[in-house]
Amino acid sequence: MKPAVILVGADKGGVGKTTVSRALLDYLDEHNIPARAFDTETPRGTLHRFHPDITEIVDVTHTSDQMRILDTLEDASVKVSLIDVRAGQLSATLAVLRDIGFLDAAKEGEFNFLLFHILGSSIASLDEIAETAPFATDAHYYLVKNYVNDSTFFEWDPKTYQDHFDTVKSATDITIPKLDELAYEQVDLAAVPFATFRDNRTADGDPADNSFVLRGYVRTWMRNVAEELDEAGVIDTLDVKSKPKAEPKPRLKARAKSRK
Amino acid sequence: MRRRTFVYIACSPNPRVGTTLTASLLTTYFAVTNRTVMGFDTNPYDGDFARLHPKSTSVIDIAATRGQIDMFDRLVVPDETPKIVDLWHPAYRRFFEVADNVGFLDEADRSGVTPVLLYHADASQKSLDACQDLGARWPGVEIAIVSNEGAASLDPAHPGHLSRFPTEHGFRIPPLNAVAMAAATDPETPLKELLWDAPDDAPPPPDGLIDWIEDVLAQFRAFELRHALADMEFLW
Repeated sequence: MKPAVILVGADKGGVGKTTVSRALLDYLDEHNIPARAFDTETPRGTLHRFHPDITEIVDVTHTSDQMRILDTLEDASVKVSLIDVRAGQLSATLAVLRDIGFLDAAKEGEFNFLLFHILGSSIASLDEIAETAPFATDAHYYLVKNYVNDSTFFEWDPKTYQDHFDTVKSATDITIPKLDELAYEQVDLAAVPFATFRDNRTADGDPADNSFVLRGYVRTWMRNVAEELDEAGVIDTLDVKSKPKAEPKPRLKARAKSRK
Repeated sequence: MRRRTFVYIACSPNPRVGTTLTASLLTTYFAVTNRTVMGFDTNPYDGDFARLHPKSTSVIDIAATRGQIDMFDRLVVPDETPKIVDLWHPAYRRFFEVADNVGFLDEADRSGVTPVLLYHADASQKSLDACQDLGARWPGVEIAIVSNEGAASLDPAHPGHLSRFPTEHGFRIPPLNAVAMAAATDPETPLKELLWDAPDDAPPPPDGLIDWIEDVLAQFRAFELRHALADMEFLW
């Protein structure tokens, strides 16, 4: 398969971009698509806390870290690289990627480039679209409305939004639904991927003691997020033959003893 | 053989149909048959079920996630302890939304927990519609219709009304005179204390109470026997 780079970012902090990155990593894992992640929140990355096995903390403004990410795209056994861009640095990061020829390479089709632009509820987020759009002409551009932290997007009137949205012809709308606050908080405290919490496991893979109700909320939320990403055609864009993981089978209540 | 864990949900979208009385009588039934029972009163403000059975019943605010955890996390435990939910009518819609959202039925099925809907029927079209919706929403879950003749008598002009509810089984709670009903629902003297554990020199219970309670408890016993027979592996 062709390598793919998924960039997740926003020009405003607190819009839940790391949550979307975590959801994307879970989504890819559910489709048996191995991924690696780069957390640009140096020195302590939030994404790294939840997915330490596959996440490196990098500074994309440093040439050495740019090389760590981009020069290994072809060589890496894992073909999907997700970059969680530090809050407020989306435009700057895109400018860096343009300057080093990354965007041109994407245009040439050397790899697939997916840009997840997480929008905040303020009207300023709409202006961000205009700033980001020029960088996204050769990307699969996703505009993500994130309700996970209960944003209401009350400042947006439909016409204003549509006008901004229309400026980016190839953009796809994605809505991340709200997750119950307590469930979100408990996953945060557990510091594990959403799927691990749902499956009632600790980070080490041992049985956990998570609430059934909270696991249920996480399960339903993950299912809804997956539906959104499916509808947006993310898997098709990645150009991989994915095979969704089988749903866990119900435990057998009783197992017949084998007879010799 | 491990026995099933039943979760009884006394419910109706309408008020004053007798869900609390049924929940209370069922609790009494398990108490007089020397079994532990766990109750949940979903009226967080002034629930009578919790007042009648304070030792075995928790008050739950289903609008809050904490309350949902306090109830549903215990409902899915296959510990053979019967659970009884008195579903306060304003919490009716939220209960089923939460149950669906957290995957209650799937988990119950996986863990060997059997929910039983004790649906309290009344003469209204709303009652019939909601029950049919419930049957479609939770296919395969047993719905037992409860007709509380003292609280919500059905319209005698439409004797076939009850047969339109999507169920084959049900309970009939007969009417009871006011004095006996007051005694049956007195939180100061629970029914078990009044009728089973009363000292020899205690005054006799109000007229009609013993026949009434025996009739109701016999129906609960019949329900349990029906399930026990259905679960028998070596009966032919």
